[in-house]
Amino acid sequence: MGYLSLGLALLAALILMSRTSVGDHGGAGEEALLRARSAAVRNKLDLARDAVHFLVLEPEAGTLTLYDGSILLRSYPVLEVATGERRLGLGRGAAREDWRTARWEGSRLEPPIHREHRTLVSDSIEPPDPTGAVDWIPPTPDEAVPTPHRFVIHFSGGLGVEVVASSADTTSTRSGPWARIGHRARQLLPRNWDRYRIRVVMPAAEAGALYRSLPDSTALVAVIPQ
Amino acid sequence: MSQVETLQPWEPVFSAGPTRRRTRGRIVLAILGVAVAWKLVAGVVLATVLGFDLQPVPVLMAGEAPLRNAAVSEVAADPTLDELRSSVEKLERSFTKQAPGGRYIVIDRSNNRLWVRSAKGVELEAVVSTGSGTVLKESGGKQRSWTFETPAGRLKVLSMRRNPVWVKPDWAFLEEGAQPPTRTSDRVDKVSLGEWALDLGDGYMIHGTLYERLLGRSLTHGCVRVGRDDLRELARLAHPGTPVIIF
Repeated sequence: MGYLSLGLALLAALILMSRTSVGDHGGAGEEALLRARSAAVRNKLDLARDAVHFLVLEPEAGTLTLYDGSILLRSYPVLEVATGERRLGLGRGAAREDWRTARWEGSRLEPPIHREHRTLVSDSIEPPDPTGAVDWIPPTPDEAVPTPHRFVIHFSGGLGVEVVASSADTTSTRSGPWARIGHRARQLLPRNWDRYRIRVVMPAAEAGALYRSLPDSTALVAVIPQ
Repeated sequence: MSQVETLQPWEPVFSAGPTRRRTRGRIVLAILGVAVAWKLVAGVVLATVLGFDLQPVPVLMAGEAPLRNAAVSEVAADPTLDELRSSVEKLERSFTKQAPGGRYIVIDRSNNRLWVRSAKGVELEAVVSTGSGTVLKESGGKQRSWTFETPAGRLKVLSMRRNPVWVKPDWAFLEEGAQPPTRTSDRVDKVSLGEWALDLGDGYMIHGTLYERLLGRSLTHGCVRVGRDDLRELARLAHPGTPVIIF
């Protein structure tokens, strides 16, 4: 047990060493915030010029907003935001000081969405029921693509935005222990081994809406002081 | 004769074998328990060490004063900050200028929602129905195939028709197990599209529906179906040329 205690103590020391102080950006002043906003608007202008889809995370406004170029598509309310780096400097992607205000591109959802489509062959279709009865009612968006309690939008370069459906509102989400274990197991895959993380807590319905409709290869800009 | 009398003197009453096996079993279980517990502890410790060191970022909740106002009062006198502030405002103005000037329609296909937005904010939000994604294959004839999807992208309202008439295309008959009629008059449908149709081009429209109870589900052939009241409001707010952004 001596080695066990020594090992645990060593690991605890490593955790403490890799921990940054809470006030690093939580108590950032006006200047840090303005610099973050300045970087974000410059990135937004570039992305608008490129006419691509992008998300703008603004904790100071409590929103995550989806744009198509300069056109606002949808704004999602955000309840909590936390940011951090993987401990011990590990993870996919190069080390960079400005990761909180950088422009991230090439989004990929984890878990991915698999949509199944019906195929009808005209010969095998029965004429409509004269009583008006319908043989097939399509599922609602929630039924077709249930919202995971937790999903990650990975960006090439090593950022993962982890979206968590608010625990106060998880009735329609997959939040059981198997879902949690599955989520954790997927995060161990090399392609999901991000270096940087932004965790966003949203109302479950909004998290589900974002999960279902996030366009492929969306970029991200965050207004978070360094 | 009682059972005790049948036993031979040298025969043990209780066998030692099962006891030894039970003891060995307990030892194996104990070792397994310790191993599993160690794995769990190591797993948790490893996950903690290799995980993320997350720190909260202040989030503005609805009804709270903007964070920047509090900070401004503390450092308002700083000329560097004034410069920075005005530079940010200038940049934000140039971003805002790029946004569409008037009203525009946004359609979220995956969640079956429609919004009319403008600089004032959201002027209309409606539950709609969009394309089902169903593929229809014609088994005979020209062996054509249709995919009933609402197209994503930037479109615009090309024209608006009141009490529109729908000339049903071939797929509308094939999907009901019927053969398409040869006479155009047999294809005319005066009720299915509701009070208004906003043409988006290539046969796609935003129109009304007879099946309001199914709004919110993806079931159309690519058009966007809107409930009667919302359609009236949409027709009031939109005009030919109004941008329509579908994602």
